[in-house]
Amino acid sequence: MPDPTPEFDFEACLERVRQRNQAAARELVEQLYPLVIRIVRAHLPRRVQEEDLSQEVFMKMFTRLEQYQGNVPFTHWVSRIAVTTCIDQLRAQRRRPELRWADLSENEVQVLDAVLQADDAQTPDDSLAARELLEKLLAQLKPQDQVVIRLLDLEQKSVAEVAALTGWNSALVKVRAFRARRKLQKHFDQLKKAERS
Amino acid sequence: MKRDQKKTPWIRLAEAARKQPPEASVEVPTGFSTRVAAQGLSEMKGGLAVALDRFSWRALAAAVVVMLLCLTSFYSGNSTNSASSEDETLLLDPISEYIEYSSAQS
Repeated sequence: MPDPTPEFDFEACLERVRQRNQAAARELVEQLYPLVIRIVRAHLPRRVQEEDLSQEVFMKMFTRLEQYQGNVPFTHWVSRIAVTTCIDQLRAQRRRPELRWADLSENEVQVLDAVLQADDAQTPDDSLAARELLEKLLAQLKPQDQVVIRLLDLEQKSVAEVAALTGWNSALVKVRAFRARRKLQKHFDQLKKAERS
Repeated sequence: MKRDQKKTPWIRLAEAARKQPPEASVEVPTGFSTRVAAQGLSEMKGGLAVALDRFSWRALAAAVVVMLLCLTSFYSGNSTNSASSEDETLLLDPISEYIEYSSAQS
């Protein structure tokens, strides 16, 4: 993952933050905000404000700052904190709403019809409805599976990148992705059945 | 994602969803950085606190090991000493000694 501003000297800024420099701490938050908010938005659980969650990420960053050894780029370290914080939030929302055919809007039904057709060349045009349907399907998965599948299939990151972001090994990432896709296929099959009945 | 991979409904849906551009604004909300920086610095542990934190965990682990060693030695010592302590009690019992002595005299 590239740094949001490669010219920014994180080392010098961190040194000042460790000396309790308020301006440096503010500067650090401002530099990292775009990175954190993108991760938070991508994995935002339902009924959670993105500002609250990003604030939680920054709080964890400050309280664990002394643990940062400099072995990995600082942005990678913060990204991992952001991803794990999102997983924790998703875990906190234990109850996953059941997806029913009746819950789908007209546009979502059209998208579903399009994706269920065997024609490989065709992808639905309504990207907004596709995104909404996708969110509803992803909400059926376990938090870790949601995160893996979002990173791999939506953000198109490599297995190695996902492993670095989550702290899981590559084999575990692949297994989680496989299981998640299989579960998603089951949900598609259920919706297909419900459509016919 | 491999090109020759068969497109499942999920892959087709993900492709369609990716066309939806992400929310553009990544600007820091007003006052966010000031608030978060102030709170973050106040909750940030100093060097001494971190050192004490690490030391206290090590001390806790050492204390647990010492406690286990003490318990082990106490119980093992107790079980081997139980028979001899009974003898000691008998030997130090003056009444039983007197009864034994008087029965031997008669």
